[in-house]
Amino acid sequence: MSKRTQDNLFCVALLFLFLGFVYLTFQLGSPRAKLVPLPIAGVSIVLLLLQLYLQNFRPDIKLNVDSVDLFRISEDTIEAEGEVSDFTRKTRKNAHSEANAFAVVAVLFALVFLLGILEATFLFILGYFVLYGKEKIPVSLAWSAGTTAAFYGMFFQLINLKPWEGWIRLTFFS
Amino acid sequence: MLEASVQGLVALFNPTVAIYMVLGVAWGLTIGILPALGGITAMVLILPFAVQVAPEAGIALLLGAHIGTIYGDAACSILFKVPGSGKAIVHCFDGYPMTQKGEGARALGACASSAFIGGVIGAITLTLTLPFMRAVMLALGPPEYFMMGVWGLSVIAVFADGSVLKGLVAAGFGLMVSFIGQDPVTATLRYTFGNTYLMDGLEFPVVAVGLFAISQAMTLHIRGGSIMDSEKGIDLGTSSVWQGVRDVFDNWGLVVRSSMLGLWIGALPGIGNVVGTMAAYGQAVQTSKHPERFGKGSVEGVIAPTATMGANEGGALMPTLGFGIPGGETMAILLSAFIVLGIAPGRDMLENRLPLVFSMVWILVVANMLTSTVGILTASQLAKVAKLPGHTIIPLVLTISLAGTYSLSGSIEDVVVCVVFGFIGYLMEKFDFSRADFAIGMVLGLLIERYMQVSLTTYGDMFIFTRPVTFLMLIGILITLVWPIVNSARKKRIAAKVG
Repeated sequence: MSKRTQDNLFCVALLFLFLGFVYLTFQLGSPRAKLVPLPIAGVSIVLLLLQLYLQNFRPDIKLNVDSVDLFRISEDTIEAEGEVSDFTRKTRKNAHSEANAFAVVAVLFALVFLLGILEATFLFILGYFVLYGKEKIPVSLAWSAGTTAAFYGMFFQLINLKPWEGWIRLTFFS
Repeated sequence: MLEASVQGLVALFNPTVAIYMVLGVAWGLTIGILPALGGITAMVLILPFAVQVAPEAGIALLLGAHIGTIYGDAACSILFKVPGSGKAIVHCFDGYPMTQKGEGARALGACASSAFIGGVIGAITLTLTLPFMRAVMLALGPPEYFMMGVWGLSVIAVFADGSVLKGLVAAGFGLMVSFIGQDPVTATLRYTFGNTYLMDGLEFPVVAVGLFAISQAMTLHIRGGSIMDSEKGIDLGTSSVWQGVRDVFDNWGLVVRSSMLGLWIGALPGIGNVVGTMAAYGQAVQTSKHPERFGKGSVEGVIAPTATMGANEGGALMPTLGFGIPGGETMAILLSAFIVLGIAPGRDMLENRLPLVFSMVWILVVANMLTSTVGILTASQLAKVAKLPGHTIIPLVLTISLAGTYSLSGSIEDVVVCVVFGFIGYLMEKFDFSRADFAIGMVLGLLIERYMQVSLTTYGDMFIFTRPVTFLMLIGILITLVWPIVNSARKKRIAAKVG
């Protein structure tokens, strides 16, 4: 999927989000509560539609603007179909795919939710160092244990924060 | 006034005050620089200790920590592009690009120096202008604060990195997110879907951590390598911390202007220093000889907001202590601590207890000096963090982000919100929707709405035109927005004539 298509999809998603905001705002009982959100959502919708029109039907008009020349159209920085931008170029060592990045964050969240903050910290850092950093086990263990200990000392001893124990423990062992 | 200032300074020679101030600065620097743990989080963590010691020690501890977190927040923005608080958002614009170019030490040196000089200028100016400042504070009302918030939003249009339309949409998105929860005037629940967690709205630190820290970690994971683009090479001659210090003295006019801005905006209750840093950045762009460099790693883009932050704190004490109206989120925490420590805010503070007020101002100045010294001495080492391999930084940033987010209120829902906004932030960055504009919109949204509602109720629909100061501020904002267009058209006409 080209970056232009992805850009369009993201803009459309935002458009639906703002339309959702408008719909929900109309449901509010108090006129005062609608006073500010409604025009802001409305203006944002208009701007998004304009953005979609310009980037798809007027590619000759450049949308990136220099900070000094406000509203003046500057040189093109929107990549054409098929070009690879700095953002997506994977020429560096240890580069990974977007899906991989989303998965990494999702895995961390799943570990936190299921096992708890401290357990997730230990396992995630250990796993990341071994799998992505290609570090030796002792080095990875040192980083993960050290970080976990620091979190424990800072959050759960120093300020007596009640730790999130994980959904598994709360559901099956509480 | 001068006598009160001197009495306040003498109070600093108490060993207890000095020791706790140093401890506070150390805490603020250590915690503030960690992604996701800066600003308000650092203050929240130290609050339980501060209220358990003697009042003067508690005050010194808190104020020292507060100053330490200011530098820490700015350093975190510069090194990791993760603002620890709203006022440090602006440092992402130019500070982080400087780090990517290998000029992180220079940026940190400029940051530390300008914060110190800004703090000194702010304290001296405060001493001399306090009577006038009190009159101004009393004269301004909700309509003027509303225009201040609009002024802060107008910076989005002055500086739009990438598509202006997308920047404005991002700001609109941020504004809408700020409206989640209770309407500040009617208490109507908005966009909560009956969920009790959403009734309190989304906390800015939670969203900001996701938007910046999580998404930055994802970007680094995809890109590979380290934060610093080592392929571009390092020019050691321009990347030293002392170059940053020299830059501050080379731009002394900018430092003075930004400090004045920070002091006066900080003195306005309820506005906070977010508006001040944005306004300082905007005026730096417009007065610079090289405005085209902004957004790409201009040291002026680091100096201006930091000088504002340094001067802001002294001014922010005035409404906090004089009226009990905090100038920002960290001032709100300070205020609650002050009350527990037996310091009751009110006009009596500004009229009969000025020595105490000035001792706090001088604590801020000395803490600033200490923070700046430590900042300059450690800048070179700190900047090396940008060279750490991604596989070291990424897991640490991600785990600190989630743990720090959880620590704010012990709620797993905060972690969910953080992760969701992490994904959103990544997509926004990919498709050139400015996350900084989103953050600005979110910070200013409720503030603008509250003051607008109060102004409409108190002064009627035409309040902008019936109040002279408000109208003048509107004219000033319009000039700020229109001037670049006029200037550009004028330059084109001149170029056409020459050509």
